[in-house]
Amino acid sequence: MEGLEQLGTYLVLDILPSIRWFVPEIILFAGFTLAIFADLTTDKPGATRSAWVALGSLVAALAATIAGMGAALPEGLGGLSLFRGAVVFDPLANFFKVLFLVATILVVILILRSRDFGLRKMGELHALLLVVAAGLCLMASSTHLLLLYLSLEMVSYVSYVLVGYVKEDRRASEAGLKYVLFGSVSSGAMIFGLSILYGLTGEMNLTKIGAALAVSPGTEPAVLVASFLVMAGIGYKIAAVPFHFWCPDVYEGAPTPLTAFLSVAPKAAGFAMLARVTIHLFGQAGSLLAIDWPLVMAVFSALTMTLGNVIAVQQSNVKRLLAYSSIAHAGYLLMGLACVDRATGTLSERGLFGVLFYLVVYLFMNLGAFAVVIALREKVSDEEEIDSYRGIGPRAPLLGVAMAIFLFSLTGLPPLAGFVGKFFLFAAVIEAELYWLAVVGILNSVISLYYYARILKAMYLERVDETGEAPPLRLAPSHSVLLVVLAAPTVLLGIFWAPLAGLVQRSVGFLF
Amino acid sequence: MATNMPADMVTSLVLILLLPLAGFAIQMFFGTRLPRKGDWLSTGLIGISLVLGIVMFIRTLGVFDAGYARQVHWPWIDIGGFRVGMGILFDNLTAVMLMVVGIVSFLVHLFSIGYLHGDVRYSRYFGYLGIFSFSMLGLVLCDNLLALYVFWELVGLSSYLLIGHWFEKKSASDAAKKAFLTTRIGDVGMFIGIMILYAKLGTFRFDEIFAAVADGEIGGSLLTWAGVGLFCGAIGKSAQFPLHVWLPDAMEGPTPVSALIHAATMVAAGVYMVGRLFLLFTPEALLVIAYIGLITAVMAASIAIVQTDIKKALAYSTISQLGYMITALGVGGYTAGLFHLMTHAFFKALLFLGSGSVIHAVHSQEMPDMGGLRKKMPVTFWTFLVATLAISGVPGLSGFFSKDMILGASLAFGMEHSSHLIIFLLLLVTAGVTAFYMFRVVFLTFLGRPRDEERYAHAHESPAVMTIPLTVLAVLAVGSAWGGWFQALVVKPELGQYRTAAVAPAVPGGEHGEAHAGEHHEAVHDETTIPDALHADPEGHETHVAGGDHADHGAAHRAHQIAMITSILAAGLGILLAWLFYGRRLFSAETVRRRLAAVHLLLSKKYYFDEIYAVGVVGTTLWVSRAARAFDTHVVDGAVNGTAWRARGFSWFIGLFDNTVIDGMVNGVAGTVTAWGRQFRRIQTGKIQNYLLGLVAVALILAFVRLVRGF
Amino acid sequence: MTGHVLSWTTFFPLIGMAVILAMPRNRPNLIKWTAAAASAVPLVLSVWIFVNFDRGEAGLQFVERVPWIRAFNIEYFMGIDGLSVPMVILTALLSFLCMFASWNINKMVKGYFALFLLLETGMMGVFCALDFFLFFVFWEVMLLPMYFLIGIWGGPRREYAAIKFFLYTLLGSVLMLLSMIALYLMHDPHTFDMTRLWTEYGVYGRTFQLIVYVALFIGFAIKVPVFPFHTWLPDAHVEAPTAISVILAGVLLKMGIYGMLRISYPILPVATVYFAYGLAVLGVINILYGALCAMAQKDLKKLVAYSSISHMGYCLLGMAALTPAGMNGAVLQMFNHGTTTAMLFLLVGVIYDRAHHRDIEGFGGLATQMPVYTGIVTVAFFASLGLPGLSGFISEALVFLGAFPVFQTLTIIAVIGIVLTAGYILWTLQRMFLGTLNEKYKSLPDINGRELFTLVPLAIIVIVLGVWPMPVLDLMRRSLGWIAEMAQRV
Repeated sequence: MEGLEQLGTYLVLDILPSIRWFVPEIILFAGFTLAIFADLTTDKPGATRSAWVALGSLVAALAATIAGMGAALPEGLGGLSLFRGAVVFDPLANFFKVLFLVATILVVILILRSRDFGLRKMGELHALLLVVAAGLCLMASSTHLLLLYLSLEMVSYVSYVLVGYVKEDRRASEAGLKYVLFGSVSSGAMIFGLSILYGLTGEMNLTKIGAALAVSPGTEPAVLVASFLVMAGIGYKIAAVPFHFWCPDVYEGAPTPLTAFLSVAPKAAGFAMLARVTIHLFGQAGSLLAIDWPLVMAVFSALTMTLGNVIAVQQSNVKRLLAYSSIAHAGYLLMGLACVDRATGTLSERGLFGVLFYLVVYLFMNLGAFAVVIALREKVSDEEEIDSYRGIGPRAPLLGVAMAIFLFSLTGLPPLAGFVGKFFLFAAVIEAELYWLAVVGILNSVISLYYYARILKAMYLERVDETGEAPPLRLAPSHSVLLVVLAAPTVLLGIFWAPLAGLVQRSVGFLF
Repeated sequence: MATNMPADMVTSLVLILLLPLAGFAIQMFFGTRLPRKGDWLSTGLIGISLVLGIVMFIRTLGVFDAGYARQVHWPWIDIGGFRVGMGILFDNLTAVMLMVVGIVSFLVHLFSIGYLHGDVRYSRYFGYLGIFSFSMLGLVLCDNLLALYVFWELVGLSSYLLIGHWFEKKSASDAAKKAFLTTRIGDVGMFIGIMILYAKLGTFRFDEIFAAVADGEIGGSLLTWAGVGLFCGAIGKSAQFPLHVWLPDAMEGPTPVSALIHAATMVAAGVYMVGRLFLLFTPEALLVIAYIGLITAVMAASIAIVQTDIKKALAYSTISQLGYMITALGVGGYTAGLFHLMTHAFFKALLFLGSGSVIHAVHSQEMPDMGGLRKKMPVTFWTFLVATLAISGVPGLSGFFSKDMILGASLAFGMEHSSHLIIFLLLLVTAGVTAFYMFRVVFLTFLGRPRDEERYAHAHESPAVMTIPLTVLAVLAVGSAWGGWFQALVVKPELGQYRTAAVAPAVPGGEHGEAHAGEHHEAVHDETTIPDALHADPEGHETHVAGGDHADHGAAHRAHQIAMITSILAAGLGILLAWLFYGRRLFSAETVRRRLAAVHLLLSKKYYFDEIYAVGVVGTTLWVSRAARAFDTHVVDGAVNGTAWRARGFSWFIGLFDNTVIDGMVNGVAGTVTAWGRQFRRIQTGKIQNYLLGLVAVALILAFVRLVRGF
Repeated sequence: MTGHVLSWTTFFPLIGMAVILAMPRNRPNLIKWTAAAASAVPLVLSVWIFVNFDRGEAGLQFVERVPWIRAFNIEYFMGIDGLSVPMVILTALLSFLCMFASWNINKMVKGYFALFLLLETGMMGVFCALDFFLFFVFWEVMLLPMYFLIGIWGGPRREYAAIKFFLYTLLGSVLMLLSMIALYLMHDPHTFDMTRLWTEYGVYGRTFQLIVYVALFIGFAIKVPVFPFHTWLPDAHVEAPTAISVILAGVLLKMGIYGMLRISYPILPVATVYFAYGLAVLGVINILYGALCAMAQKDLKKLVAYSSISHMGYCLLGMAALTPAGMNGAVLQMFNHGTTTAMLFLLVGVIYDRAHHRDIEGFGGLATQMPVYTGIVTVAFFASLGLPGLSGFISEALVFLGAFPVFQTLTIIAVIGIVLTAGYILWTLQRMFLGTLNEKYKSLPDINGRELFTLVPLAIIVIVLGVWPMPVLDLMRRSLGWIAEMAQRV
C-alpha cells in the first residue's frame, strides 16, 4: 500500500503537474496512433490521409509549444524540471521544439511532393515521422542520462527505418543498413560513456553530475574517456568529423525528403544535446580537468568544416555534395560551441546564440536546396548529377532563383539569412579571440562558394541548348508555393531578423 | 582676380588665345560642310588674332620699357591647401612671341591653302592648325608653370596630330608617335622640376617663384635639380641632344607644318621656356644647358652636311640652330638666345615654306631630283636665298645680328672662364658649317643644271597664296632685327627686382641670383660668399656670371668685335667652300665622301642614335613589358590558379582518402573479420564494418592521445 | 522624396527590377525602356543632390537614420559627404548610360536588366551607407548580380572569369567581414555606426589597428585591384559584356579606394600612417606594372583592363600622401577614371560589335573608315594618357604634386608611368586607326546614334572637367580635408 501511495503522490505531485508542460509530445504520440489508424483504413497507395493527420498533429504540437513558450518560468539554470528531473522545460528546449516541428512539417510537405517513394504506401512513414519529432523534442529537453540516451535512440531507430523505407531501392536499403550499424556502434560508445559518468558520480542528472564532478578530484582520466565517448555519440548525430563517414552514403542513398530531414532536424537535436552537455558538464568539469575544451571543439569544428567543404568540391552528385556541405555546416555550428566567455569560463552566450540562430536559418536554406533537388528529380532526371542541371535556370525561373537564394545563403552572402547566421557565429568566435578559427571559417566560406556556384553554373551559365529556347519547366503550383515558403524566410531573415534574434535571445538568455 | 592689366588688354589677349581654338572647334564639327571646307575661316580667325597681336605689340613698343609687365590671374583650382590659378603674363617677351607666332602661323595658314589644296582631310588640317596656334599662344601667354606645362603638352598633341596628318603612311604615324613619346620623356623631367619647385615653394607663378628664389627660399643643388628638370622639357621639345631624334622624322608632316611647328614656333618653345624661367637656373644648371646646346649645335650641323632630303637638311639645321639658342642662354646670353629665336623663326619658316614650294613643284624632297629650279621658280629662289643668307650670318640680315650676339656672348663667357672657351670655338665652327650646308642646299636645289629633266619640266612657280607668305617672310628675315628694338625691349631680367622688400637676402652676394644679375660679380669672386653648392665644383664655375649682355662692358665690347669679325669670316668661308664644291664644282663632294667613307657613314646614319634607341630604349621597354605580361599570366595569375588547382587537387586527395584510404587501411583489419562479415554477404559493401572500426578507433585514439600528451 | 533622397536613389532601381520581373518575357523593348527609366530616376536624383549639396560642409548630408536591428545597434544609416557624392553621381550616370549600351543584349533580356538594376542598388548603397553592417550588405549584394552578368552574358571563357571574380572578391569581403566584426566587438558599446567609429577610434590599440588594417586592406585591395591581387580583373573585363565591363571598371574598382578612405583611414589612423609608405609603393607598382602589362597586350579589352590597374595606382599614391592635393587628386582620379575608362570600354564594345574581335593587330587604318569613332577614341585615349585639357591630367597632376613632398623618389619613379602610358596608348592608336585600311573592314559602319548617346555625355564630362575641374573638386575638398585630418590623428 505504501508503494501505491508513493505512486499516488508521485502521480499527483510530479507527473500530473509535468503533463501540463508535456502537451506537444503527447500530441505527437497521439498523432502517431491516429496516423497508423488512418493508414489502416485505406488501401490507396501513397495515400495522403495519414499525411494530413501527421500535419495536423504537428501543427497542433507546434501551437502547443508556442503557447507554452509564453508561460512564466522560474529563473535559473535548471528551468522547469519535469518528471523528477528527467526532462527540463526551458526556453532552450522550446526553441528547439519549434525548430523540429517546423522542420518536420516542411518535410511532410516535401514528401507529399516527392517522387522518391514511388507508389509505396506512405502511411507508416508519416506515423514514424511523428515519432521522430517526439524523439527530437525529447533530445532537446532531456537532462537525464537515461532519457538522453533513450531519446537519441528513439530518433535513431526510426531514422534507420526511414532511410531504408523504399525497400526496392538498393541504394536506400544499403544506406539504411549503414546507418543502423554506425548508429548502433556510436550509441554503444555513448552509453558506455554515460555509464562511466554515472559510475563516477552516482547521479543521472546532468546538472548534478556536473556539480559532483567539480568536487571529486582524481577522476580525470575516466571523465575524459567518458567525455569522448559521449562526444562520439553526439558527433555521430551531427556528423562531425571524424564521425561523419556514414553521412554522405546515407544522404545519397536515402529518399531525398528524408535526406533533407536528416540533414536538418537530427543535426539540430544533436546540437541541442551537445549544447546541454557542454554547458552542464564541461562548463564546470572542463575547467576542473584543465582540458582546453574550447580548443577541442575548435579543432573539431575546423576539421569538420574543412573536410566537408574540401570534399564537397569534388562531388558531382548534388545530393552527395549537399551531404558534404551539411558536414561543413556542422563545422560552422561547432564554432559557436567552441566559444568560451573568458570571464566566466563557460560557454559564451554569443556562441550559443549563433548556433541557435544559424540552425533556424540553416533549416530554411538547406531544406530549400533539397526541395529544389526534389523538384528537379521529378522533372529532369533521377540521377541528381550536377550535369543534369544544365540550363535549368532559364527554363524554370522561380526554381532557379530559389536555388540561387538557397545556395548563396548557404555560402553566407548578404542580404540572405545565411550571412546573418554566419555573422553571429564569426562574431562569437572573434569575441572569444579564436582568430585562427575565424580565418579557417572564412576560407571555408570561400571554398564553399566554389562548389555551390558549380550548381548555379550548371543551371545558368552552361546552356546545353544554345540554339533554341528549351521548353520551360512547369512546376506544380504546390511546389512553387513550397519554394516560396522556404525562400521567403531565407531572404527576409537576411534583411530583418530582429524578431528571430529576439526569440533566440530569449531562448538562451536564461542560461547566462 | 589679381591684376594690373587693363580690362581691354585682357579682352584682346583672351581673344587672341581663343579665336584659333574656336577655329579648331568649328573645323572639327562642321569643317567639311563649310564652303571651301572652311580654310578661310581658320585663316581669318588667326588673322584677327594676329592683328590683335600686332596692336598689343605696338602698345608695348609705345611704352618702350624693358621692365614692362602686366599680369592678370584667375583662380582655377582651389582645394584648400592646394591652390593654382591661371593667368596671363604680358611683357615684352610675350609681345614679341605673340608677334612671331601670329605672323608665322598666319602665313602658314595662307600658304597651306595652296599647298594642301585638295587634301582628303583639308578641313581637319586647318582645325589642327587652329589648336596648335591656340596651344602655342597659350604657352607664351601663361603666367605659371602648371599652365606652361598644360600648353606644353597641348602643342605636343597638335604636333602629333599634324605630323600624323597623312597617317595612312606608316612612316608618318611612326613619326607622330615618336615625336610625342620622345618629347614626353623630356616632359617627365620637366614635371619633376615643377614638382620640386611646387613642393618647396608652394606656387607655380613665375613671379612668385622668382621672388622666392630671390629671397633665398630655395637654392643650392635642389634649385639646380629643379632647373635641370625643367630644362629636360626643353631638351625634348626643342629637340636637343639626346632627345633630338624625333624632329627629323617629324618632317613626315606636311611641309607648312614643318615650317610652323618644327622650325619656327613649337621647337622654340624650349628656348622660350628657358628664357622665361631664366632667373631660376643656377650657374650649374646653366652650364648643363650650355653644353647640351653646344653638343646639339655641332652634332646636328655635321649631320646636315650629308643630307640629301631637303627637308631633312633643314630639320638638322633647325636642331643645330636651336642648339645655338640654348647655348646662348646657357652662357648667359639671354637676349642673344631669344633674339635668335625670333630671327630664326622668320628665316627658318621661310626656308621650310620655300622648300615646300619646291616640293609642291617637283613632287620630291630629294635634292638629287632637283637643280636649276631658279629659273622656274624665281620668287621661291630669291626668298630662299635671302633666308639662306640670313641663317648663314651674312651682315645686314637679321640672322647676322642674332648669331653675332650669341657668338659674342659665348666668347665673353669663354674669356671669363677660359676652360669654356671651347663653346665659342665650336659655335664658330658651326657657324661656318651652317653657311656651308645651307648654300649646299641652295646650289643643289636652285642652281646648276636640272638633274631630273622630267620633274624639272613639270615644275612651276607656286600660286600667289604661297609666294606672298614667302615674300613677307623674306622681308622679315632681312629686316626684323634692324633698329636694335629687340635688344632694348628684351633685356636680361634681374633677380634683385623680384626680391620681396621684407626679406633680406639670406647670404649677401651668395645668391646665385645676384650672380646672374652680373652687378655684384665682384662679390662672387670672394670665396667666402660662394654658396656651398658651388664649393663642391672643382671647375670653379662660380664665376660663371660674366657672360651676358651686362657683363663688363669693355670685355663684352671686345668680345663682340672679335665675334663679329670671326663669324663673318666663318660664314664667308662656309659659303665659299659650298660654292667651290657645288657651284664651281672645283672639288668633288663625291671624292671627299669616298675618302672619308667612315665619317660619311657615321653622319648619314645620324650617329646611330635611332638604332641605339631602337634597341636600347624601345627594345628594352618592349622586352620588359612582355616580361611583365608573362610574369602576370604565369607567375601572379599562375599562383592564383595554382592555388585553386592545388586546392582542388587537395580536395580530390582528401576525398580519396576519406572514401578509400581509410577504408583500405581498415580493410586489412577487415580481412580478419571476413568470416564474421560473411553473414552480411548479401548486402556486403566492404565498407560498413570499416567505418565502425574507424569510428571506435578514432574515439579511443583521441582519448589515448589526451591521456598521454594532454591537449 | 527629397527627405529620403538617398533611399530613393538607392532603391528605385530595385523597384524597377520588381516591375521588370513582373513583365512578360517576350516584350524585350518594354523591359529595356523600363530599365532605362528605372535608372534615369537615380540619375535625376543625383543631379538634384549635386545641385543641393552644401559644398561648404565637410560632414554628412542628406542623412537618413532608422534603427534596423535594435538589439545589435545596427541601423539603416545613410548619408553622403564630399567623398561619396562624386561616386553617387558617377554610379547613376554610368548605370543609366550602360542601359543603352546593353541595348543589343537579346539573350534572357529580363534577367539581364533585372540583375543590372539590382547591381545598381548595391553600388549606390555602398556609397551611401554609413553603417558598417549596411555597407557590407550592399557590398556583397553587388557580387551576386555581377557573377551572373559576367557568367551568363559574357564571352567564351565567361564561366572561368565569373567564378574567379566571385571567389576572389568573396575572399576579400570575408576578410572585411572579420574586420568589421572585430571593430564592432572591440568598440564599447558595440556599434556599426561609422561616424562613431571615426570619432571614437581611440579604443583600438596599435596592434589591433595594424591587423585590422591589413585585413581590410586585402579586402579593398582585391577590389581596386592592387598588385598582386589583380589577376581577376583582366579575365573579368575581357569576358564581361560591354556594359558590365564599364560598370566594373567605372564603379566597382572605385569601391576599394572608397572603402579605404571611408573606413580604414578615419577608423585606423595609426595604421594608416604606419602603412602609408607601403601603400604608396604599391601604388607605384600598380602604375608601372599595369602600364607595362598593358603595353604587351594584343587584346584591346585586356589592354584597357590593365590600363585600369595602372590608373588606379595613381589613386593609391595620392591617397597615401595624405596631403590635400594628393587626396583630392586620388578621388578626382577615381571619378575621372570612371568616365574615361567607361568610354574606353564602350568604345571597345562598339568595335567588337562590328568586327567581332578585339585583336589590336587585326585592325589598321580605321580612322579613314570610321572617323567619328576614331575621334571619340582619340579623346578617350588622350584623356587616359593624361593629356592636359582632358580630365585625367588634372587628377594625375594633383596626385603627383600631392605625393611628391611626401614620397620624393617614389613619385619620380611613378612619373615615368606617364611615358609608358603614352607609349602603349599611342602605339595602340597607331596600330588600330592609323596606317592603311584593312581590306576586310572596307564596309564597317561608323558609330551609330545609340552608341553616340552613351559616349558623348562622357566625352563632354571628360573635356569640361579637364578645363574646369572645380565642380567636382568643390564637392569633395572639404570632406577630404577632414578625412586626411582624421587619418593623421596619431
